[in-house]
Amino acid sequence: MAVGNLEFIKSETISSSVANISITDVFSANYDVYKMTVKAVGLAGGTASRIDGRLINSSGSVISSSNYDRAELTLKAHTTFQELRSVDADTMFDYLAGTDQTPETSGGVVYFFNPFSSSSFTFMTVQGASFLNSEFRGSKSIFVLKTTDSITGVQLISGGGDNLAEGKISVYGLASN
Amino acid sequence: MPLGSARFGLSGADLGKLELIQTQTVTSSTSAVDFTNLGNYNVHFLTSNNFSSTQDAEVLQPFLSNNGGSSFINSGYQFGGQVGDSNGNFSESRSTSSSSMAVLGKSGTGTGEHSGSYAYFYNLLDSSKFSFMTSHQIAFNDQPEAEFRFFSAVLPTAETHNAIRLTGGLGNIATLVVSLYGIAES
Repeated sequence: MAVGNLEFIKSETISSSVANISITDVFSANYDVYKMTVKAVGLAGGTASRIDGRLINSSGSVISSSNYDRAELTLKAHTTFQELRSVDADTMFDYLAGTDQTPETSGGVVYFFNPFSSSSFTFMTVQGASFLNSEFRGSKSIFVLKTTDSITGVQLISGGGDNLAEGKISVYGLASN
Repeated sequence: MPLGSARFGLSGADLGKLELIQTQTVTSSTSAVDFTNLGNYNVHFLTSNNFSSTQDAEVLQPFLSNNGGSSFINSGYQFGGQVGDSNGNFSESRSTSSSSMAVLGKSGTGTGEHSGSYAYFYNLLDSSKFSFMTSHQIAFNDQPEAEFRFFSAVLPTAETHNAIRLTGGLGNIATLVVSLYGIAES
């Protein structure tokens, strides 16, 4: 039996107030599937925010063309769940569950499929959990970038509230041979 | 394999970051399974397999402890989840005052009425953060029918949670194989 095939690639820690954070040079020809863990992303202030996302191509450019689709279910502990969807968006809205100032924060796991391939679209599945405005919510969502760009990184973006101020993002490759 | 290449692969990748903490196996009626050593990780991964309860239509429930397993917290959890089955019944499941951190399995007492699941736990050992969980489950339940559940859950108390307990709901655990891993560098 093969053991030890969740292979660490890179971590980024948010330790000061920033509007966004880029995790660069993590996807390569070495793997087809990647896991990203997100631990306790919180804000600099108390104005809750979405956490949006964009992908970064092999030239180092953040992709902001209108080619992101998503389907998402927000699971709220206090009220009816919410279906969210978008087609041909320039951003992956609600990439992670929205967040707030510590200890409320947001966490989750993202899987990436074929990000580095220049012949396949990039697919992502996300599961998350967060607390904001004193309310709990989870997220289960899928995203796709409908281009064959070779993707090497991902950017997390504060989506309208306060800046990001803390958190740790780690990326792993899933070895397949 | 040369010394050193067990941890660092030929590509230079840092190998082996899914680290098994402990596997526990239940083969006869047991009231609870406890994990009291959580290592030192920000993100934990738990798999459960072959769960069944001694009582029909019961669930596998997780609980957290803030005192190393001397006692377990049985109030104040919140969750949102979706449930669906092969008969076409789909529903929302939610609570702001749950006695457990959602549900990680469902079983019946008939042949094959067992379940499996995986869950991620976040911030358990961080005393300044709430503890979160996300999960996904497949069961062949008491009806019997195939049933999925996925949940996100929280214990909204900023404190260290240093032990996990699993119970079989109103019954005991009859069968279960459960493994707890830490994700290094998370």
